[in-house]
This record gives sequence, C-alpha cells and structure tokens, in this order.
Amino acid sequence: MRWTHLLLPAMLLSTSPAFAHAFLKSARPGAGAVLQTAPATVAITFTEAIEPDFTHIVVTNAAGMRVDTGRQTPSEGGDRLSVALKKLPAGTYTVTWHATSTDTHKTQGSYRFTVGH
Amino acid sequence: MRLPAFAPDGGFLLIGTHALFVAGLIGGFGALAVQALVVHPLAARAAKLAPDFDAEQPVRRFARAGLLLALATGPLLLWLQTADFAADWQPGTVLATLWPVLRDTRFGHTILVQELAACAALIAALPRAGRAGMSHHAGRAGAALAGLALAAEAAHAHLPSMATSLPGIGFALAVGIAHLLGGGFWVGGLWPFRRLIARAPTSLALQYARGFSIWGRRAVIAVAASGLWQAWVLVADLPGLFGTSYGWMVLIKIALFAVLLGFALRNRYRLVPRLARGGGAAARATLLRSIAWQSLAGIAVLAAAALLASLAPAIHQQPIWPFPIRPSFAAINEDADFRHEVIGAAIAVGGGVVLAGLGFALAGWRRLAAWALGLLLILRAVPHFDLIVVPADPQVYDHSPTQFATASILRGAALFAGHCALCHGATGAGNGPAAAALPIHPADLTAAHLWMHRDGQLFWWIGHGIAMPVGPGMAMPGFKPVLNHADRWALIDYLHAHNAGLVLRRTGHFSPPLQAPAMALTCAAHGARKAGAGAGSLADLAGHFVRLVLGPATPVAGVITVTTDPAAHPAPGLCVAADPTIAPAYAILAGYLAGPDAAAHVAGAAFLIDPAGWLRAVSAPAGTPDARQPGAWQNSAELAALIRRLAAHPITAEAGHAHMAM
Repeated sequence: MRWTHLLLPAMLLSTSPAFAHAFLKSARPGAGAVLQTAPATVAITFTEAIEPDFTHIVVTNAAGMRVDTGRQTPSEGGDRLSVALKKLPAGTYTVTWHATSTDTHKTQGSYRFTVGH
Repeated sequence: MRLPAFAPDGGFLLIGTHALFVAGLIGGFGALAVQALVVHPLAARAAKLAPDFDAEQPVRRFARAGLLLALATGPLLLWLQTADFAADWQPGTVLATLWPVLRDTRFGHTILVQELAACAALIAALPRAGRAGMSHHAGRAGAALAGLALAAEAAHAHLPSMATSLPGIGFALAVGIAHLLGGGFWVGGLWPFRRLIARAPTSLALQYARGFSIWGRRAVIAVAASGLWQAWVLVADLPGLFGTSYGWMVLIKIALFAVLLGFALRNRYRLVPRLARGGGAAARATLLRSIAWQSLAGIAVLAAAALLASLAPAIHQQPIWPFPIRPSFAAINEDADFRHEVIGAAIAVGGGVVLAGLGFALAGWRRLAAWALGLLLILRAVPHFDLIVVPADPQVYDHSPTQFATASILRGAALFAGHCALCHGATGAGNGPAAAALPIHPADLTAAHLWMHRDGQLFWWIGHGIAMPVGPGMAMPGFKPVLNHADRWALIDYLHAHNAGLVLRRTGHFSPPLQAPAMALTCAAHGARKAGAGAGSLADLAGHFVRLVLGPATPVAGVITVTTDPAAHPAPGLCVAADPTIAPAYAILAGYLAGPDAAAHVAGAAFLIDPAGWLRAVSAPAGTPDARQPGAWQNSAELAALIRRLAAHPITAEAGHAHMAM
C-alpha cells in the first residue's frame, strides 16, 4: 500500500474532542443515580444551545407511565432544560430526551435513575 | 476500503430547499457586490470608453433573479423546517407551529431577518422610472442588504450553537460570515461578471476583469482561511477526516474549491492576458466558456456546502478508518535508531522536493538531471516511513461511550469471568486452564503492554478475534456473536481498571495516569456559589479536588467530599453517591479481584481525584494490610499539604492512557 504513504505528511496527532458524541453534558439526577429522597425535577444541560420549545424531557416509571408534569423550564444560558416531576415513590425511572439544537439538528437519548433501594 | 454511512439530517427536500434559498441569496449578493465594487468605481471610465454601454442592466437583472429565488423559497423553507421541528407533516400542525418557530427559535428569527433584508435589497435593485441605472447610493445599499441576508445564514451553522465550548459565539459567527460573504462574492459574482465580459468592448472588459480579480483574490483568501478553521474545529483529526461522512464531504468540498481556484487562475493568468494581447473574438469566447465552467463548479461547491451543513460534524461521529494502515509513532518513540531513520528519510524527501523544484529554474539536461536525482532521493526514502505506519482495523479510532463508569467496570468483570478467564486466567495473566493447550499463549492482560493499544483496537480484537501470526486460523476467537457493543466496551473498562489496580498495589501509584470512573451523585442544590452546588455527576465537579470516601464521611475544608453512604444527606461540601456499583468497582481499581466480598476490602478507603478528573492518591483505613496515609485524610492540614503537592504537579492529558496508545 505504498500510495498511502502520500498521506503521511498530512497526518498529525489527534486532538481529543471534549464532546465526542455525548449530547447530554450533565443531568440532575445523574445517569445511574441512586437517590434516597425523590427529586422534584429532572434538569439536563446539553453540549449545545437548544430550542426549548422543541426540546422535550419525558420521565416514565418502570410500567411506562409518565411521571413528569409536562411543565418545562428553560435556563437563561440556553443550554439547560428542566421538567417538574410528580411525587415519585421508590422505583427505577427512565428519562428520555429529544433535543433540537439552535442549528436545527435533532438528537435524542435516555438514561435511568433509581429512588430508594 | 470501507466508507462511512451517509445520513444527512432533515431529508433531501429540506436540504434542497435550503440550498436553493442560499443560492438565491448568493446570486443576489454576488451581483450587487460586483455592481458596487467593480462596476460603479469604473463608471466614469466606462462613460468615456463606451458611452452607449449599459453595464448595470445585466448585473441588476441577475441580482433580481437571485433575490426573487430567495424570497420565493424562504416561505417553503420555513414550512419544511417547521414540519421538521414539529416532527409532523400534517398541514394543521405545521400551521399551528409556525408562530412558535418564528417567535422563539433562532432559525425563525434568522429567516425573518433574511427575508426582510432580501426584500429591501430587491427594492433597491429595482429600476427607477426615468433613470437608466441605479444610483451609487441605492447600489451600495442593495449590496449591503443582500450581504446582511447572506451573512445571517451564519446563524444557522453548527459552530455558533457549539460555542459554549469554543472561542466564543462572536468569533464563530465572524468566521461563518467571512466564509459566506467571500464565497458569495466569488461564486455569486461569476455569472454577472461573465455577462460584463461578454457585452463590454474589449478595453472596458479588461478593466472589469482587473477589478473583479482584486476583490476575487480577497474573497478567496477569506473563504480558504475561514473554511480551514471550521474544518479544523469540526473535523479535528485524521480519523474524523477519512473515517466519517462529514470528513469525506469536507474533502470533496476542498477538491471542488481547488477546481474553482484552478479556473480562476487560468482566467487570470492565461485567458485575460490573451484577450489583452489582441486575441479578439476567439480569446473572448474561450474566456467566456471558462467562466461558464467555473460557475458550474461553483454550483457544485454550493451543493457540497448544503450537504455538509446537514451532516453531524465529524467530532460527533464514531469514525470508521478506511485504510489498511494507520500512522503510529509508537516505534520511533521507543527506539532512537528508528527515530533517526525516519528523520533521515524526511530530510531526504525534503531534499528531493527542493531538487525537483530547482529543476524548474534550470533548462535542458540540467533540469532532467535535477528531476531524476530528486525523484531517486524520494523513492529511496519512502520505504523507511514503514516505521511510522502499522496495520489498522476499521474500528481502531472508536471512542468508548462508557466514560469508564463504575457500572460498566463491574459488568466487564462479570463478563470476563464468563468469557475470558478460561484462557486468560482468573487474574488475566494469560494462564487460564485452557491456556496450555493453545498453540499461542494468551496475552497477559496484567502487563503494561495493555496500555499501548488503543481502546478501539481492543474493541476490534474482542469482537473479531486475532488472526494467527502465520498461517490460517485464529489465535483468539471473535466474540461479536455473543457480546454486544456495551459488553465489549465494559470488558475494556474492566481490563483497564484491573490492570491499574494491580499496578497501584505494587507501586502505590496509578500508572499510567487514570481518569476517575464516571458516577452519578447528588450535591446540595442550594447555595449556588458554593463549590459543587447542584452537581449531578462526578464530571460536574471538574475544577475541584474531590475526596471520594467508600463509607460514611464528614466534609473537610479544601475539597468536595463524596460519600457512598446511602444514609447521608447532601450538604455544603458533601455529595452523596449511593450507587451500589461504586464500592465494588473501586475495589477492582485498588487491585482486588472482583467478587461478592471485594467491596469489604476497601470499606473506609478514600480516593483523591484532582480538578482534571485524574485519580491521584489512595488512603486505606488503618489496620488493613495495605494501609497508606490512614484516616481518609480527615485531618485537613495533612490533606491540604497533599493537595498542594499534587496541584504543583498537574497531569497533562498527553500523559493519560487515552494518549499513550499510538
């Protein structure tokens, strides 16, 4: 494969991107969190600025029933969104998010957290 | 050669409409900019050279066509983008969603500004009753308004959205605007320029060519510099360039740009001078044909740009390396002789290039001799570059998605016992019950060599196996049929944690430096100015020294304490991580074999994590066999001294394991 040698002068050491493919930057409760007391909200910070009208966080219990109130609050910074929760009994919950960033691109993901043991 | 999947976002109708919209803006801006920057400054000379020639009419007509195209496609683009936002194509839903889009979204605000500015530019470009041409004033205003409409397009781009982690939204916007306006003048101005060349008398046409060339050169520099910067940020590395659809589209766009530039140089340095030397109608026809082909290349560049904007940037994609080899500096970093050999070969290639270049300045046999000698030098040197390439598998540059999470380490430990221990041994030392019967001894996964392999390389081997070094058959089978993606990444996390733990027990240090596993935690939400307030994960505590205590703990000054005690409550300086996977995973990191009682070995131990997330020190409780710095650093003076020492010697990203493997 001698021809590939032609590529070598252009080959540079890689720089490591800070946001490889995690569009969720941080969340509270965090992914996999085990909590003693039930949270009142789920808040997600994204790696990019989002359109709050077209970004949705849905929280469901193990039976697939929605346990969020649907009331969403965007932050001033433009990269954070939180949703209010109903009173959660002990159990495992799934957070599913659909985000639209301000450059109109869509991403989605989900994670789980547990209340009680 | 494997090519990455091509998955543009939003569908081809949306992308195509957006492309037509931008093409219209580019046509409008390009024509009006040619009018303002090339035609107007030459108005007095044109009146002298060709009093009857109306330079404005062809340019103005093209500008109007472009702006009309943008005005017509704008509402359609708004409709399609709204349907995409709503994820619903029902006209009723789209209609109801239009207002929220216009009122609340950056896309809505931007397209409103663009349509209004394009409309105003069109009015400026309309012919006035009783006047042959536009006033200079109206011409400049039209160009500025069309420029505003085009520049606003930068707000739709990837970079300003990502600016939370980049040099800033202002700089990203400025670069995007430079790219759009430079490209808009160069590509959008081509056809109006061609019309001027076609219709003006030769002496005036040459003046226009000179004027267009001056601004064209500036536009090309702006386009190239801003384009390269954006590619640098959004592609970032070679795997991103050759292993993602975004990278390939960048390469295609650069190739098309080169074609465009080739035409421009041919026009400027060959065809225009030929016309100037009195080439007559034939010379003019050749030049016109050349500009027409160049315009076609310009349209291809616009299409490539539209597709590029619809793809997820390379830095957000998992690359698939398409070549059978890849660069690796491991060999020359380890061996000085190899290093000298490669440096020598590089000098020889440099000498060969200089000689070949020198050949252009020589003539006759001297030129041929210089070229032959240069070629010989290069051909002799090239094989030595084998030292900086190694065979490559397609997934070698994959990034692990697990963030080395504690749950993933534990999952890997369970999978290792079930799938790997038979050959590699319960401790991973390569001495399992089945090892003796194998023709090739299984790898010792506890050796330092583990860290020399990229995560993606390990991922490929676990999935696809390792071929026998000589002859047919496999030295290790592939586990893709039984282990899914997450399983394979979990195994790699376990291998790293286990290997690092053994080194820690032997030496007292994490070597190579290791990032602390990701974990969810809960910190006190109140007191926004308190360190760590509102954090939901260990990553949120970046910037602070963190003391992780595997058991009950009380806060200490100078660090954020994280306790795994599920009965604890978050308080200022104290976060709670009650995930039951944390203690057993840290037992592995402390060098204990995974098992039901592993967590008991590390009960009460504490780990110190530095502001960049590196694991820096361990404190085992007093009375345990490997007690070091006992007391979980509850003594704050002692802890403060340790932190000062560690802060004075920060770990650079290059020293960590992600960068060790080359």
